[in-house]
Amino acid sequence: MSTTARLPSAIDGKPATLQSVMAHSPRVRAAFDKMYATLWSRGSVDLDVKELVRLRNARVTDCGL
Amino acid sequence: MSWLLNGASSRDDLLALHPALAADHHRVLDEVWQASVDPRILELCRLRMATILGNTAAWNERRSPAAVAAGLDEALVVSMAAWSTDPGFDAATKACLGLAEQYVIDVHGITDAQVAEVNDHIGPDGVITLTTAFAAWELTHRFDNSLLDNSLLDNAVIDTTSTGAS
Repeated sequence: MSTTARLPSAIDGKPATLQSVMAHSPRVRAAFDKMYATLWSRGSVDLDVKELVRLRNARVTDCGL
Repeated sequence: MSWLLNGASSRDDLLALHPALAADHHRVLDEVWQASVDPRILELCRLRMATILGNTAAWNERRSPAAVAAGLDEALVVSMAAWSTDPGFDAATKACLGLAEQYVIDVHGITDAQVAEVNDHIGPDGVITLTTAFAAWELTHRFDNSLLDNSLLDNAVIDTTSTGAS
């Protein structure tokens, strides 16, 4: 996995980070972030179960973040 | 049908079990289709990912209205398994389809050069839109495969040949 951003920052004066690179497409990203927030904040599945699933998924997909 | 909900006949029927999430899911896809990337490219990538992941439900549903309005060529849809050699696919579409395949098959195999090529064609806003769309479609395809009954997943012939990504 690359740990260096492959795109420049969309924000003047800011280094290329996950957030500043994603800002190239703010509406799409905001919608995705809202869906992600809903996954965490709504529904009947306990938060600890969600976190365990997230970590297990990260392990399986070898996500270093 | 779905084992999760009697009478469910579609993805939307199942998503309705979680209305807030359903609304957010639809909004993500709406924003993707309204963004700067050519919707014909988006639709070809969506269908290519569906093929690789074996989601025939995605093939059975209607084509993206935005892609159809932009002139989506059904001949390209039919010949998509040969996109890497078919001259009907332009360079931008090939670059995006290559990234879509690599994303699904081995995301860690995506290279700096591959992203740079896509960036040259659709710009950084397009790259972010495209990769976010990949995430949303992979989620959707796996959701369908997990929760929709086989009766909704059959009746489509898909060519699972991968020709572009290594």
